[in-house]
Amino acid sequence: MKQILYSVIRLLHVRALAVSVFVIVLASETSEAQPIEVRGGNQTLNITSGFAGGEPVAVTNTNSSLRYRRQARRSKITVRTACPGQNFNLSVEAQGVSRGVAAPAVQLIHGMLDTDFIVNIPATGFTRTTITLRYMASATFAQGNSAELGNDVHTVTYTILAQ
Amino acid sequence: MLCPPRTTSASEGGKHSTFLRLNLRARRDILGQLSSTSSAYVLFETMKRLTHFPFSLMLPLFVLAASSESVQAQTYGSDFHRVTVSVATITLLQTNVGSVSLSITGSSVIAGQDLMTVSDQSSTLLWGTNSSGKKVTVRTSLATPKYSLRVAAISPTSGTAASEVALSTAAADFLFDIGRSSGSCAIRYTALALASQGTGSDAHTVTFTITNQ
Repeated sequence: MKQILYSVIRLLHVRALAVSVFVIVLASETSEAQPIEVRGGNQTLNITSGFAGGEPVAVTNTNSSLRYRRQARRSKITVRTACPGQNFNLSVEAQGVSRGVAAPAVQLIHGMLDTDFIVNIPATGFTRTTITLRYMASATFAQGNSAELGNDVHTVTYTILAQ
Repeated sequence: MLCPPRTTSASEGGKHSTFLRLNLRARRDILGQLSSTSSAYVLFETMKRLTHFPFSLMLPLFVLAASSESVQAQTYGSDFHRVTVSVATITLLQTNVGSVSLSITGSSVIAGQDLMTVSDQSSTLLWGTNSSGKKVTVRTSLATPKYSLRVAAISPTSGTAASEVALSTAAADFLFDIGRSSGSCAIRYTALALASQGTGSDAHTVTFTITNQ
């Protein structure tokens, strides 16, 4: 009787300990690694040509990427920008998204709220993934030029959070 | 024999460690009780003391709850970079047709009148500039024309048309205030010839320029 009870108790303790260790390892693995990372450094888009009677030609840039990890629950990525004195137009779109659903191109406007960029990122099925950031800059003749107004310098922030 | 209930500390960490101590003591007490008491009593006491046991099973739940606190805080992490948009000074000007021909023939001549004229408004001037304080001027390459050629901007979509001017090698105002705009206007050429000047032809290369106002 004693041995049986002792064995049961010990077994339950061992299991509880094992589960605890597993949960701790899982939690620490998730929290210590960088959940989201912008790669490729700072970017510059130069608008240099246009059409008489039309508008300057928009330019695109796909030289940066976004790397993110799966989280403990379904998550999403938002984007926002800070660009005081913004004069020109900039939008960003996620390309090559296999984990989650990319939102349509987001217009980056100074003072904007966090806007959905990639949604429905699953909590299972992958560890980390990388997508391409496609920036598109445009301007009208009426918006002027950088020689007179200065460049637009955006601080674009991506945030991963529970959905 | 039983572990007395203990007062837990105020912090979550204090609660966790207290639960562990309670559990460990309960297990030791259970084992000790079994060696010195009757089976029925042992069973009763054991079942009663096992009420402490869920604390050990709850350990993973506490860990889960602690780890899920960050989830409930919603944000897992963020990162940023800087994106610069630079727009060069762009100034564009073009006409939609390569050449315009004006011919004064007998059909447009009025008997007894020396001055003969003919006009053409088939061409369009297109422009785009993202600089402020700009205007359009016009000039001809022909220094000594035999006949007079006048030009005017008609119905500009932006800016203000200057008065009709006689073309010369010196630049003359054609449009004002087109800074930071994209637009178009019709170009009206008017050729003037006197009957007394006889026949002949002039070939002009007409140049439009966007310049500071």
